[in-house]
Amino acid sequence: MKLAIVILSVVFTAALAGASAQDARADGHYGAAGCGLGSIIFGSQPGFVQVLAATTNGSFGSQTFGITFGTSNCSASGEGMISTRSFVESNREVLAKDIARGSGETIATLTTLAGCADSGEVGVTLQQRFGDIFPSTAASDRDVSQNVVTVLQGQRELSCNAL
Amino acid sequence: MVQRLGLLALFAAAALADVAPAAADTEVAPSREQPAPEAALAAPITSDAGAAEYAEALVAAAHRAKLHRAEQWLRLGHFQQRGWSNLWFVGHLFGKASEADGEALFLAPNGATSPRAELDATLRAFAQPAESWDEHAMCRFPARLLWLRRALDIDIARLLGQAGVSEPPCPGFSEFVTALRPEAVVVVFSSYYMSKAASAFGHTFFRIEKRAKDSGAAQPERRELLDMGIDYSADVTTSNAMLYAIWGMTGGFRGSFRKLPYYYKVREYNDYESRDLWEYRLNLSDEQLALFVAHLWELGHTYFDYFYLTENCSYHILGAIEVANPEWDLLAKLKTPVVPVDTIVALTEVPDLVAEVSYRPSLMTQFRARTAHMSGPQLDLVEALVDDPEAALPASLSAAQHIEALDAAADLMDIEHGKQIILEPESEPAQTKFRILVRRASMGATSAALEIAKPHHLRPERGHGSRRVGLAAGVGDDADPYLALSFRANLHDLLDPVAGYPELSQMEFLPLEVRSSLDDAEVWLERISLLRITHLNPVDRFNRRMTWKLDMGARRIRDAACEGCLAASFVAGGGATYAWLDQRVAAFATVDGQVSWSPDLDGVRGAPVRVGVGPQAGLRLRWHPRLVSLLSAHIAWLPEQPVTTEWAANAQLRWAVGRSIALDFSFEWTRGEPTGQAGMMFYY
Repeated sequence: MKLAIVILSVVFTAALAGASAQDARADGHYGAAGCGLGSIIFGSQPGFVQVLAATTNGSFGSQTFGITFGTSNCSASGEGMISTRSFVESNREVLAKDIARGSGETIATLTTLAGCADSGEVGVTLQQRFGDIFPSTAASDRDVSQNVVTVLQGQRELSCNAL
Repeated sequence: MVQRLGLLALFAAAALADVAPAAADTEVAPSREQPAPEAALAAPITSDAGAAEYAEALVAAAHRAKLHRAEQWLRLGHFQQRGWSNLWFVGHLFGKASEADGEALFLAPNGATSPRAELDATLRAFAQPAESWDEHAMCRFPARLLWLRRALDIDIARLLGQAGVSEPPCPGFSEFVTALRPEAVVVVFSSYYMSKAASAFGHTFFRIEKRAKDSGAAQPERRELLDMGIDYSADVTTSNAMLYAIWGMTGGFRGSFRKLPYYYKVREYNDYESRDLWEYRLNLSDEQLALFVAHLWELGHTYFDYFYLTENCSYHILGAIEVANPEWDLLAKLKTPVVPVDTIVALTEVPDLVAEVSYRPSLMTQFRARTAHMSGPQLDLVEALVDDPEAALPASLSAAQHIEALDAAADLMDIEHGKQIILEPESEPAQTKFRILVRRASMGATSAALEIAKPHHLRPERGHGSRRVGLAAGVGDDADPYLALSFRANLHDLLDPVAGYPELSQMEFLPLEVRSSLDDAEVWLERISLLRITHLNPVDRFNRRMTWKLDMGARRIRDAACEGCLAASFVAGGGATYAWLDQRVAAFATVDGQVSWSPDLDGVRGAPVRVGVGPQAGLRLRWHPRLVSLLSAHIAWLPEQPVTTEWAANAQLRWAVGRSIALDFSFEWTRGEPTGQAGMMFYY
């Protein structure tokens, strides 16, 4: 019986090791800096750790309440307000869908953050300017957030007063 | 009364602060309406004799009032009875100890084991000087200060030795409160995630609801995405799987509280893992909320050793809530091992604690809602667009239908390739999604918001209890009649009543069955598993994901190779499932591999190891949410072994007659010997 337990635990750990081999792939250039989803959710660590990190509700990094969000990196500590830019950068993929659709939760949130008057109009404007905001998939997060700010500032009638 | 106004005033100040910094460069700017006039004050850097004397008087008063035994104080220090023993005639043995393992939570050298020493040290530290306000005990322990000043009627100015200072300024803490701008606390349950074995049991964390910006508008703008999430998680320090498994079970990792904007959590769980989120908004008074937030600040600076099975995310989430009101005895409601659903059950069992339950559908749920009403040609178009974003739009469909198809196709790209789209912007899926969006944007028109009804039957607390025991009697053709006692630590299998659980998933931790012969009173362990997971993943035109299963444990082998020996066994398999009628009918087939080991086993080339491979097929029928049947059969070929095949067929029916009681009937045929079993199961 005791032997069986030993074997059982070996099988268990071997299974985990197998999962490790399968999932291990490093995404080198993400995670060094940046508050985009790539670094925060997927991180820069080998896949397996992230998989299990998420599974045991683990996380990476040793900062606790120091984590905050500046323009395009997470290293700045302090105030911890969510800005228009950091929001755009971190929600880029969902925002792209909402902008293409002309509506959605991220557009409503952006409207609040940027202090614009009406999210319906913001949605319509951003949708018309989709190509200016997202020139290509290769555009950096920072460029995209700059484009959003430029478009919102350029439309006086949106009266986005917090940009 | 007056004493606690200070912190409440801080909350009010936070409420006034703006969400968005006004600077064009959106680097976070300090909020303008913030600090109170006292912020200009330097921290007390020299000790004050009068203050120290006052602190001693407070210590004496605290002893008279026995504050160190007050439930609130014990909660603030996360003190629990130490040791296993709780003998009724001598009371608790070994005294109390804090569950916190970081020294930062304690001011006394023996503070972790002595609530009294820690209380004395806290009061004395309040009168001590510090390098800066942030390092001052009053700023490091705002929750203790909040409670003690109420309990002892403390004169802050006198304790600080600074006349006129009614409130320590605490820049770090007030920044934290400003970032949170707390109005309410929401406990979020992230549902069972079957694509990762160990996420299968769910997860819980906090969302701190921000006070809506007072814009003067009739409808205040509340944006959940801008709320702050507070998560308790392990700091994983190894990429070695074996160490990970061992440390995760034995407390080898530190667990700590982190704050992160809620939108990260939504993107991670809702979008990339397609997990529905259930949110439980707690009914806290202003005072309880202030105490809770102040205590979060204390927790954010310490750590706990993380135990995957006991002191895990769900445990410490409850421990933090308990601080808000000592009358809520939440941790005592938990079982071992602690699973997230039990946290939610504990909360909902306290009368009036949960004010509101809301639901945030996953990306997959959103996609299903988008496609549910679509016609065949429209669904064909969604499929075509994912292959070729420039696919021709059939004239038979209206422009509105084209738009719906494009919207669904964009979601499908994220469901299938979300991670790749983010990490590799040049990859084909990223390009495809981009071209779908360009095309969608060029068509103009605003897509209507999705209306998704709350699926109340999936609320985790509506499910059966997380643990189960069963008692059954069985009889076979040859075998003696026997009694079977079964137990399962967690959580759900394919036959259990479906309310609150994913319909086609089985996730079990430590199921076991012990049998006893009725003739000769022999007792034996029939089977045990460490982990048993089956995920039937129904294939349709938009989901090609695999059905898979995993079982690690030990079972009895009864054939010529070994008559009734217990063999350690590992089974894994993959295949496909088809489901109809809203998953009432599900048929599945897998190919399974198994490895078994027992010292007495006559296996591969004389070694005590059995290796086998072969198919399994099954049919699950849900007649009613409380009545489910399962037929299954498997055969395995055992190459190079004296016994060349192994097979079995099973039929099982389970009828949940109440919320916590089920009747279970099963028949098994193997080697031509049918066995029947009937029994009862209790969920608790």
